[in-house]
Amino acid sequence: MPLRPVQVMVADIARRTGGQVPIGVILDAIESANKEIHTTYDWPWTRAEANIQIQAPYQTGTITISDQTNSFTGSGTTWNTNWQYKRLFLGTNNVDYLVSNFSSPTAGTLVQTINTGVNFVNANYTVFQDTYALPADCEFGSILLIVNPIYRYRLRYVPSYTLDFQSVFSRVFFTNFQSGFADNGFDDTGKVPLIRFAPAPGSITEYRIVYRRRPPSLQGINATSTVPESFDRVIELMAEFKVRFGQKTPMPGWMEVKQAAYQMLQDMRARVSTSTWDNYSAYSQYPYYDQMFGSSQSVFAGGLFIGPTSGSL
Amino acid sequence: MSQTMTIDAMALDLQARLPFNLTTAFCFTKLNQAYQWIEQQGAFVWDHRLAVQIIPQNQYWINLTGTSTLLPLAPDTINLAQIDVGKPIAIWPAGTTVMNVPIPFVPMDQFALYQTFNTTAIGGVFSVWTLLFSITNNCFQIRFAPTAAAVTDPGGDSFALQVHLLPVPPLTTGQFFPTPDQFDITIIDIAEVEIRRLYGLAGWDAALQKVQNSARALMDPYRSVKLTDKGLEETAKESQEAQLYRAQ
Repeated sequence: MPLRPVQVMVADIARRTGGQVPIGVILDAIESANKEIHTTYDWPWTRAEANIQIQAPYQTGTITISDQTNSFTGSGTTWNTNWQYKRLFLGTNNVDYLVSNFSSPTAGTLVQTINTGVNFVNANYTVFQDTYALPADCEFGSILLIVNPIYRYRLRYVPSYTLDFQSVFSRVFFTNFQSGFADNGFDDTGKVPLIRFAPAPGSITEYRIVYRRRPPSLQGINATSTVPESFDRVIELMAEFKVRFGQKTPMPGWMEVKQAAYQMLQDMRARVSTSTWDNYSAYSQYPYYDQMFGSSQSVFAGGLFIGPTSGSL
Repeated sequence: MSQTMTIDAMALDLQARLPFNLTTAFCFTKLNQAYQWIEQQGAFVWDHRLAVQIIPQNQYWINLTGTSTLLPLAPDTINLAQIDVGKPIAIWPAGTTVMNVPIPFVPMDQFALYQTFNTTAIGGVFSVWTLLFSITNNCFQIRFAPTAAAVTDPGGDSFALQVHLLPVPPLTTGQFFPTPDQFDITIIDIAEVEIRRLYGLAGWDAALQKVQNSARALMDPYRSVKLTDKGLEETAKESQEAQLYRAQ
């Protein structure tokens, strides 16, 4: 018997509920059940990976911007109009400015006006990027780890407050040895979560991010879930419970269906949890505890970046 | 359909039962009225038809006018204007590219509740339908929701309509009623009682009650929709579950 497509689940639920529940309600319940099941545990099939393409700072040409304005122009610059999440550093007061967009290779706009008391005319500058978008199917809290493959270490996931505090001493210390990263808000336009590295990257490179992906939506009548085939009925049971309970007067039998759904969910969790790595005792402290190196040999022992040592690698 | 007694034979039987001369035309009228009374008692299998109608691209309604589509699923075509909209109608997608799940009916006051869903609408996958009258087309119209699920297939999508037709026009000489043979006598009985009531013959009220009860007993097995009311057991289970839920 193949994996159940959406239309089979809809037909089954419609049959068991007397055919009087609108298809749209059933489809919504199936989608909700699929998402809810995937939030209950770190299922092995949700593992995904991607490369974060770190960009080098850009300093070619000069820049002109007046005080109390947010528009700037370049001379000898070749800014890319597709650049996103860039920051502009003018070399004063340890402040960098968020760039809203580059309208042309020689013009751009900041998110806010500058407030330096002086105008910058054909001045040196640095455009750099320390903020990056997560993959579209990655959510806050879904990141398992980010590694720097060049120097072979794992970046530490720190609270935003900690990252900002650590980087306040030098906002623009460029290096390719990032100590950590933190959540950095949400891109309202692209609808993706953002993370920020500190210190700011100093050259082009690639980091590997491993994360738990959001389950694909069950769009289309032939869509199938990523749940293992042996347990794909758990989605149908969970959806039927939601359909029954979600009526103005709950349909009788919703308790039994709910019980069956959650029992199957428990069984699935007991059987498909194949990776002991996911279940080691210190997992609750993840990602602050890195068992690979041991607590005494951690690169990030005590929350301080001390660099890899020959003894710990 | 009755194969035993034409309306002519039934009229003769009716004339023999009553102590005065009734014209054949009058008997025909009363027999047809008796048949109409049976039709008013519900939806029956002899009126039940399966038809298929193709909804064209970008459309989310069916006008009940014209002739249905001839397809292998529905070898008989019907005149859509002859559909009795007061009797149960079942609609389900009949094509291979949409979900073959019945589309439930909702009354017009609930129709708007089913326009917005979380999942993206799929062309031709409607959630509910309702009935309204189209002034423009001068016919009844089956309208589907959500409108965002309007058919996207350029060739249209097929929908099966399980309907009941309007009662046949009054029969004339040589014709048979569409009811089974065993209804012939019942139709005569109903017509007889009605005539007795009309002329004030003694005992017509008791006879009317008796014949209507026996007619209903005869009709029940032939109903096309076997709806069951919620039983006591189901109601008790509902109460029990509500109490358990509140106790959580």
